[in-house]
Amino acid sequence: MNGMTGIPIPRPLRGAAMPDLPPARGARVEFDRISKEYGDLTVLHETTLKIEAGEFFSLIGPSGSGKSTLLGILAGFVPPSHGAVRVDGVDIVAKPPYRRNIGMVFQNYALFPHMSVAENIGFPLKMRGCSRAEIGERVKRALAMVRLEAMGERRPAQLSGGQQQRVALARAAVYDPRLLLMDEPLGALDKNLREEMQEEIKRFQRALGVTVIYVTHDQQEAAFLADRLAVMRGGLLEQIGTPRQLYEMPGTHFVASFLGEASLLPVAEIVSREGRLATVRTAGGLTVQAFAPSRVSERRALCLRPENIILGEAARGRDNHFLGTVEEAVFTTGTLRYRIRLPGSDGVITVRVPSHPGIELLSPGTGIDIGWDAAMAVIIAED
Amino acid sequence: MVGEAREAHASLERHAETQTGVKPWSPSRGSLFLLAAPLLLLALFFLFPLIWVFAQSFSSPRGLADTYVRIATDPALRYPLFYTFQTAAIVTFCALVLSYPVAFLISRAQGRWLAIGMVLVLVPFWTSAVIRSYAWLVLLQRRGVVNEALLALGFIDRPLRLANTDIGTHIAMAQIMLPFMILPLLSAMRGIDPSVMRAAAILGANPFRQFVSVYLPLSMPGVGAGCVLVFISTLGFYITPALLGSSSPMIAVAIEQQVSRLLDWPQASALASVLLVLTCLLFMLYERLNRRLAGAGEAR
Amino acid sequence: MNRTAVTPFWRMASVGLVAFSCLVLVYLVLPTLVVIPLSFSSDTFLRFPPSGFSTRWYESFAASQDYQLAIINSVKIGVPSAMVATVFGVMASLAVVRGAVPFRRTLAALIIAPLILPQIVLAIGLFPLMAKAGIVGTYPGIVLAHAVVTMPLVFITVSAALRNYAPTYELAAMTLGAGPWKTFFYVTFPMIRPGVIVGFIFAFAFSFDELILAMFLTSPTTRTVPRLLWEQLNFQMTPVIAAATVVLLGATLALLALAAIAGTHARRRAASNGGTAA
Repeated sequence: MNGMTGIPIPRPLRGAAMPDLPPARGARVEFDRISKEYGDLTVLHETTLKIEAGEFFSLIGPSGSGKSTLLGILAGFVPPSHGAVRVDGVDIVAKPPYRRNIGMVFQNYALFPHMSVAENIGFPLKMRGCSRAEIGERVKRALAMVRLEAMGERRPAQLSGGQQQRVALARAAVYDPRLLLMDEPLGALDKNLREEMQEEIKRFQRALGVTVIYVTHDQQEAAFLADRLAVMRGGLLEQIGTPRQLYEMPGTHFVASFLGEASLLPVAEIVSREGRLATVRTAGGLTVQAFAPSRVSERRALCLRPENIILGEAARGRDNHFLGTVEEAVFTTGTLRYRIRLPGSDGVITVRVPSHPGIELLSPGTGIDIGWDAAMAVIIAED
Repeated sequence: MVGEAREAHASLERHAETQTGVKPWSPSRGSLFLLAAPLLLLALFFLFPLIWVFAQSFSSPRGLADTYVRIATDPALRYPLFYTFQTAAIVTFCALVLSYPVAFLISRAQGRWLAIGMVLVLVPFWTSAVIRSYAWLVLLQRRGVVNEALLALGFIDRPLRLANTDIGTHIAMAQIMLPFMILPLLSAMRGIDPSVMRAAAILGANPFRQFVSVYLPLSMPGVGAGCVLVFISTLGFYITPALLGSSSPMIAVAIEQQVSRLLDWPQASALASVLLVLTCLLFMLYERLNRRLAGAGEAR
Repeated sequence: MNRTAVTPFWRMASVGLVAFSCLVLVYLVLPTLVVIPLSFSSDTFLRFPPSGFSTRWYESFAASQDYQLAIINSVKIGVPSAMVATVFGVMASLAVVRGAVPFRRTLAALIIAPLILPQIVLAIGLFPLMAKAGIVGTYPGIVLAHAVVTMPLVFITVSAALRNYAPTYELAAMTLGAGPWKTFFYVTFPMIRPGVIVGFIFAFAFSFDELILAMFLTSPTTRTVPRLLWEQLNFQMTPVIAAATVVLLGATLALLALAAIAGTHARRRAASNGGTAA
């Protein structure tokens, strides 16, 4: 558990993980100083972002954060106010969507209701002037790939949500685009189906080797699917990195609380610093050993993940050890969730411990040992 | 607000250029091209004729503004204007009073009753005004259906004079205008969430208070739109008053008479210009009310 | 459970409301129907109740050269003007609803204006201009005039159809490789088709009924049905007019039923789409 002191280095994976696939099957995407304004309203500030060939890249953020604008600029729906978008080095900004050869899966799938499933999947081939025989052949293969062989003649309205989703996927991929965009593709599905479809999308992307840019507001989904994530907020890229990097080393308060659960303790001063280890004093008067990333801004806080905090006797040997008081204790599926008041005036932090029949739920008011190692408390920028 | 800004800057956007100097493609490209043909049709066969009417009204051989001076001074020209307004006000009021309960019931109806209600409103709406005016003539003339029925029942000894009277014309015009009132009322009332009335009832309002303090204010945009629509349509009403007649011609009838009997095109154009300006003003009012109605619908 | 609703006073009030509304509906619908019994009268003048039953007025209506010509004229004017109105109305609503045009609301108001403006004003303006162009009394003249006043009907129905579904479908078609024409042909048009059909029927029905522009802009050879009826009404009052009226009433109702069927079809389809997308 301990000893996690180095920063994990993000590495785009594909080539190494799937050596049997031809490399660079996917497209390389580059947003070069792209911005979008509607008059005085800036919905996307100047953004530069590179996505590697074959990468599964996810844009996450709350609604209005600019992630859909970025996707719309790439797809060709939104003309950018400034900047260039390059796919494999070629600026596509002036190209209409129908000449970009990008596949897209929409939030509500946008399956044409007046066409059968097979006609929907064959549509992009028809637009490309394929022969009828070729269209039939490739539609058949695409249907087999999403396991809907028997559904070709149905109308989209006759399919379930998950089936519609798979048709949308097949339609966006049948013409072998090297770049696939997905705009909240699982937003309309219920939880179990979502998880099933996540697996399917991941398999699909590995098999095709295409670059995928995936927009979602569901951080769990993004963390599961993506090689790298970009967290967006207010038209700005807040942080980019692998899901693990972002979770464990959030750069800002916003990223820390958007991805997973976090307790944040404002930092009053950094007492001493030795490499990546620092001793800080919190605003509430505690002295804490913490992990300091290379750059530390003026206003900062300690980020504590609820599952990294240890309760009871085991807490005593940790780098940081205090005596807290249980304020609130709740059972949630799989974990016991505590709100524990720290000594001093830092207030309450959240702690989760795995639940099993051998453990007793502490009652409010109980005093309890609470501790964590230095690497579990990351100094981040407060905002 | 965002939508407004987007719309306002949509046209600017087309001129935006990226750093690399290429014009970004925009999905709304070509929408002006699509508008070209319809706008040309409108310009040639709608706007140009209206400008012509206006210009022609100043071409009287008797002097530049003579036509307007005569409208202001000649009772034979001035009175139709006044009479038209009076008629429009009466017809609008009658149509509103008669339509409101009907629209209310239809807006609450469901299934078959809703379908029947809509058919009863839409069939007259789409029936030619010539046919409906003719029917009223058949009903109201001296030996018409109403007189014959009243005579047969012994209510009267001599046929009443119904056609060629203001009353008869108003009754017929109000009937022809009813659908124009009911339809906007319906669209406003369908947008009123019935739970608002229920909430008022739970809060202790009796049905009358529920209506006055909750329902009526919510239906006001529909009332406004319907009234303006009926008022405008009545201002330009030609067929019914021309056929049934009344003490004084409506303005549209007066315009037609100026042209066909007196061949006085400048004078007819001046009357038409007055009608045009009045209609434009009312139409702008209608647009505003309609927008509010649409806005209320979006907010729902 | 609503206690106020069962109070006798309010029950009376609601019965009164229903009764009043029924009377209004009778007033709305019944007067027009009075022409039906009259059209089957055996009398040579309008008389109520008719002294006997006959179909002689329908026979003379059917035999009338004037009515035949007028009906043919009305169709010859109604169909092309509705077609022009439909093509232009669809173009205008695509631009206004889907495109990014400046002054969108003002434009929409301008396109609807010809329907609202009293036709007599337009007639006064069009007549001298068309006389100069030499097209008064010709088919193109009245066809163009009717196209202008019926375009708003198509614009309204097609705009409603376009607003009924999200533009995502068109964007999807574009990402799949369809250019603007193919997007319209394969996606937009199939989805708005019922609205276009309803708009066309409305435009045709309007042109078929329109009197004032026809009075100014047609000649005896291009005379439409409403103009012929009007001239006959001002000239003589025989039950043949009643017979003609009933036939036209039937035609109008048939068109309306057609439009209703197309409209229902559209609603059903919209419902099966799961309504509008975000």
